[in-house]
Amino acid sequence: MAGLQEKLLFIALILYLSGAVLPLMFRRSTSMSLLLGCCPGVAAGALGLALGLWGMLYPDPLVINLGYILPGVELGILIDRLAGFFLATISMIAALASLYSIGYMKMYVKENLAWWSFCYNLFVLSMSLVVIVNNTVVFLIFWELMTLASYFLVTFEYRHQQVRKAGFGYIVMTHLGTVFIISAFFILSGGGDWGFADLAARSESLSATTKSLVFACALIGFGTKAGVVPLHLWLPSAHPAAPSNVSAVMSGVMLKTAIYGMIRVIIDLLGPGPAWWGGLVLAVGIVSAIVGVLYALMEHDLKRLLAFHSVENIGIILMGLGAGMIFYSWSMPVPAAIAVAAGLFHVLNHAIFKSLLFLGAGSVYYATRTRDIEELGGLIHKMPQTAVLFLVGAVSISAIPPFNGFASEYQIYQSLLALSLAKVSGFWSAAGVLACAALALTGALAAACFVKAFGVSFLARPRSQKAAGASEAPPVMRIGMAPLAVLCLALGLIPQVVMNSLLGVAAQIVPGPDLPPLPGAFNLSLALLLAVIIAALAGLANLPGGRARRTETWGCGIVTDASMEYTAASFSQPVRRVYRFILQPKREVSTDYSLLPYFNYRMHFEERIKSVIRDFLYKPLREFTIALSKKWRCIQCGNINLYLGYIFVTLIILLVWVR
Amino acid sequence: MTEVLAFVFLMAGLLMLSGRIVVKNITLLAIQSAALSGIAFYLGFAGSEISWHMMFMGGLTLAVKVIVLPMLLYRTAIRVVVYREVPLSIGMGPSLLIGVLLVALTYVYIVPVLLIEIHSQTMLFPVALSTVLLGCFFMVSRRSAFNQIIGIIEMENGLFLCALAVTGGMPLIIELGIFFDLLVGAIVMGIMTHKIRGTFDTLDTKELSRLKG
Repeated sequence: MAGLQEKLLFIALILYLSGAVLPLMFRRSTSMSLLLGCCPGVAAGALGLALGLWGMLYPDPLVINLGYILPGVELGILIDRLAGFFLATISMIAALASLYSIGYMKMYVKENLAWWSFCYNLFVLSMSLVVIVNNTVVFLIFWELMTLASYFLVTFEYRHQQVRKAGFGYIVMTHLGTVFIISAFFILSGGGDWGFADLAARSESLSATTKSLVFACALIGFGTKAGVVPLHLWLPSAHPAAPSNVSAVMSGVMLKTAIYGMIRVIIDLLGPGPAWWGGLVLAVGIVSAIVGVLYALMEHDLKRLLAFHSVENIGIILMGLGAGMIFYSWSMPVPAAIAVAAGLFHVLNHAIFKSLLFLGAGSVYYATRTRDIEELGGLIHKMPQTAVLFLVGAVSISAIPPFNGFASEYQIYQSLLALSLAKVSGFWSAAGVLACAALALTGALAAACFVKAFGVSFLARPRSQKAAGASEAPPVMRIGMAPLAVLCLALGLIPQVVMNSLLGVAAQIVPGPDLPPLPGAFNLSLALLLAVIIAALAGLANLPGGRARRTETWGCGIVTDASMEYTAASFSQPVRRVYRFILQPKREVSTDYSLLPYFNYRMHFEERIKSVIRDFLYKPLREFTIALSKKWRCIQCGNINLYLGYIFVTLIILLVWVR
Repeated sequence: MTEVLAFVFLMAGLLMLSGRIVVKNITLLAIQSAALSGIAFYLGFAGSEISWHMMFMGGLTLAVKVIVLPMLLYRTAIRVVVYREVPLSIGMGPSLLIGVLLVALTYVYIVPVLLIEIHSQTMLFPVALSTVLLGCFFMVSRRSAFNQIIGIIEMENGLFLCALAVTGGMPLIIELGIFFDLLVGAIVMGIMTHKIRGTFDTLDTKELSRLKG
């Protein structure tokens, strides 16, 4: 059996590589290079999905040794259940995004599409390899390759200064994160072997302090890539800067490689730690979720809004994992496995609905060339199918049954409540309940945010010429999105099946007694309820004599136009007011008039919010660094002889003093 | 025999510090390289059987450092017309004095005290080390971009002799790599010299400090 898997893996690798290289050969013809870049990506993604599912459901891990790339560093593939789950998620999203790209990238025919295909395929390839290698050195190599490829994808529209700035912020932050990841691996290995299995064996002999150091480094390092608050700063600028299909892959699955890294290093390699580890992860998750969703609610740029929701959902995932880690440290493997599985379930769900939403936002951008929701409106009439797909994503992310977001968040609620019901101490009982409240708040705010996003951009009347001239996205783009929407509903209706297989994955990381599978194949009552509601709605619409009369809305004699519509800014105003201690909104209202202030006047309204983290954490840090560098600059006089003199003096000192 | 050649090698290095005329320094560099290739040839013949490795290295040194590089440098020197040196950053007298001190430091302290565990043929090792230091100092004390090239080749000569003295030469592939590096380096610096001259109308690297942000 393993032979077949090996062959499939090689075919997938070759497909990705050909998807990267072939477009460069045919770069003269843009459409040709686009097709050559996307089609192998779709095929390879399908293969990867099959491989990943196989690895996830099949208890024996697949091990392939591809030889040594450095002395003592083995390039080995290990697809165990955890790796299989992530490989399947990544491959599925990447395949659909590749399909979508065939249509979407036509927008950029004037740009270098061969270069885009090269980076994109390399990006997906390195992402897939990151989760299935069994050696830290190789892991880091592909991790960096992934960062670089995604950097070039983020800066694809490099002609805009904003994009270059976003790319710079991204690469600086992630490199800082990588420093911490490398430190974690170094401390863990102590300079010995680099394989995951060796590290796991070694970690048992480490002292508690060293383990905590590794934990902190891994949390900061992977947290930077995952975008947890306060290390999320790169995320809301980098995601909108990239083309939407790339943002879908980045937000949907690239952030998940960081989650994979956390699970692998913290739970799998380090084993059970003190309870405060889990508490810290849980706290970071809560803060990320609430801060992320609050800023999302304030955003009017559709993609920035979605990017902030990524911060929020990473927070929710971390809440699940944190609860799992707490149970694990209390030696309660069954609830630990359930909580970890709930976190993984949310990984899958977030990957699905977030990429669906980003692809939807991409379709909107494709049709209107704007991402500002204040300029959209009325799109449901122009692009009905895209609107439905976007709505499915929006309902899922808002955790509304019967969609998948609810299914996983419900499991996380259960785990958090179990945390307080475990009655270990008063502190944890209170923490569990409070975490539940925070998750509920997050869900409510997310729902408000998507009421705003969907309502303002798709309903009512077009607010600008751009929105008025929109038309439905090409079929290939809708086909790329449709499976995601179907999955959103399907995973919400049959969560047991997914949870049962994810419990197997979690049981591999958190060893414990076998768990009895959840009964039933699908959520019967939920499905029944849904069927009843649909039937009732269909019946109401077709009731004899009940046909609705379609006519203009009566506006009390005034002709209604788009400027009277409820705007996104006004929709989010109450929330802005309630949370003004965090958001610190600043309002500026000015009136222009010509003769008298009563006639023919124009009002200008502007309300800005402050990024507290940027102002109070990053700004002092940046100023300190710059001040220090300016002091240090006095040794740089620009004279070559002086520089040579530095080298010369160092040489003499080394010769004389250092033996 | 090697002692005589080593003496020529060291003297050429010292005299370079006293010379302000570029063309003379190039000649001195060629003489130094010739002495180096002589040492390599001699060591190659001196053993019980002829060492082809040494012969090859000697030949390569002769070809690259005695003929090709000085030719290139002469041509560049004539093209940019630098006969007189631009001002030194350290005066001629002090720089010669420092040079002598560096040689003394090597002979008295570094080789007998610090590097005592390295056994080598009597003369060659201190000569080589002091030439490395002299070349480094030469680069520090001259402001002309042209002399920096000469300085770096001189340092390389010292390193080469070092390897010859201590281990009987490095593996061939590494030496080939070094030669290639040197050639490319010299060409790059030659181009730089042109550019500096074209931009600032002088070879004085002091002008480069204006480029600082």
